[in-house]
Amino acid sequence: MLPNMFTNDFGDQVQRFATLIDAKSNQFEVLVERIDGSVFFSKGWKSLRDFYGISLGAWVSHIFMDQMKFVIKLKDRFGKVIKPPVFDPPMHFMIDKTNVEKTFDPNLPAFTPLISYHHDVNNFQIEFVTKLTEFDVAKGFLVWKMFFVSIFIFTSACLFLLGC
Amino acid sequence: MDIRTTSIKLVDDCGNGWDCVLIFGSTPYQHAMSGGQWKRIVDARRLHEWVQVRLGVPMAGENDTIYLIVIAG
Repeated sequence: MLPNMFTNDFGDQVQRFATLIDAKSNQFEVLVERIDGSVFFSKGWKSLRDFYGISLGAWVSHIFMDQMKFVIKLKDRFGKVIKPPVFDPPMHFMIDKTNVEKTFDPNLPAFTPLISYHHDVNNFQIEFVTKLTEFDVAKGFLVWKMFFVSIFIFTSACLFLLGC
Repeated sequence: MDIRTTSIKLVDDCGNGWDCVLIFGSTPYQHAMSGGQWKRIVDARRLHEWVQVRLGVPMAGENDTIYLIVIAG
């Protein structure tokens, strides 16, 4: 949730999507929700946790630029500055906009934990769990067993044509 | 060797979409690999060997979006 002090001053400029940028030009796109005049970051916000390796008590300072762009600076709970990871090109997180309305939802519940992003359980009607190998994390490819590819991606007719 | 490619989107448990390419190979055994932005996911989520990931789809068949949950490993 953004401080109400910010919302009071800049609430008229709040848009549906925001971009957070760190000192190394890594960018996070986040979805913005409004509830009773308060402004929250929801979808995409959780990306910061693993990316910076932060946990409970960390501080994220937001410097409002314009057009819903914020420069962010992070400190751990003891006040030590967290240096942003360096990537070339910089990391650019883009949220999946499937089923995301372009306008604010006026009917959101006031209970804020409900607006934090989580997958719809219906998207796991068929699932499998795999343990990552050294190849998966080092070579740039996640290896799939053909059995799961057949269920996930193709109909049996396509598989027959592929000769898999 | 029979190799076909197709594009898929992986949506992680933070809500980010990542464009990946599915590459098929047959040697030394039938397999598929997703490349494209997979390496960016590994870096962004600090994934390492032995981490478990759960992959899901809403139904069997032609899915172009696959959902991913990182399970602490």
